[in-house]
Amino acid sequence: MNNFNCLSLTTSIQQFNSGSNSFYGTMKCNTADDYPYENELLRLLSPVFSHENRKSSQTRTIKHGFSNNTGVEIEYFTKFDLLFDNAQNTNKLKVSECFNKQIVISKALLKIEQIKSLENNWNNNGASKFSEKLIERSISILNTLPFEPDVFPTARDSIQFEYEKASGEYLEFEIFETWINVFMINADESEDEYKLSSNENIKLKNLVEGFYCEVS
Amino acid sequence: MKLVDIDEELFRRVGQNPDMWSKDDSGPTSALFKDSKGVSVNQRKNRIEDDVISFEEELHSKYTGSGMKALVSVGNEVCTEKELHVIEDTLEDNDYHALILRSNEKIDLTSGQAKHLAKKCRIVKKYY
Repeated sequence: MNNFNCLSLTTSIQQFNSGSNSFYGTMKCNTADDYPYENELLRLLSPVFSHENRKSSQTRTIKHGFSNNTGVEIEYFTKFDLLFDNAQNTNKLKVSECFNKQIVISKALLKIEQIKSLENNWNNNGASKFSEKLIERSISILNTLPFEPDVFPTARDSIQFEYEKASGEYLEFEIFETWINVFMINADESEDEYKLSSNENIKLKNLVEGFYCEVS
Repeated sequence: MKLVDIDEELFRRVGQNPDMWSKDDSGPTSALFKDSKGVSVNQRKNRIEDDVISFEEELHSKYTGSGMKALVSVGNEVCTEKELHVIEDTLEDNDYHALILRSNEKIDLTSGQAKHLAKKCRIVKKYY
């Protein structure tokens, strides 16, 4: 069974222009790589733009399976026609054009969702299932990071984020429920390892930015 | 607690799910060597490589439902470089079993020790 065949989606309509029958906004969702994003977009927006609740600003959230709203971002600018539905006595949206679509799929988030689905003894050596708190903590950290890490589970109740350069420089966050272990291999092959408390997301963000910052 | 011979080669299986392999296909993640019960490995004990591979494949199919991603090995001398302790831990159905530990007092490897093993390990066989 594909654990990722589910959807969490948030749409935020930022601009609505009734004169040109167009709108602009962003949509965020978690979904499988091959999910039919566009069909989902149309399905979600139709009720938002029905006659009785059409407004200049609307937010609509639909969740199935995932609890977070990151993973895939789609920017859109769409033209549409409003058609009168005789049966229901309301206007319905018919999208006639859709463009400026950008899709960024978070492989790291999908990996965390995969880790979330692991059961007890997932490594055949008695490793525990991952707690909801650790999963949420990891997603929270992921959301603050400027670059996507590689994500792996460990058999000691932690989730590991990794960054590595071809030069051998390496940055690792091992995330536990209540603390984070930071490990680095520097350009001169020296190593640093220390602990941070669980609420120091900004420090982690700065470490990643520093890791990829070119020093002249 | 009997220590494993310094010139022993230690084998560790890498499963397919979850994926514990690096993105650039260079080898396993160091997370593979982070286990609160110690890192479970099997010693070569003078066996030829084909026999080791057959043994590991048999064990894997016995205990797991998914396939193997790879079989990797690391020399005990590599463990010693980072002051790791490798102890004999024979099981009912496995005389070759051993555990890699942080020291003679602690089990969990440090991140530096785990990364060292991940970098130095040899890929014996890939299954993909």
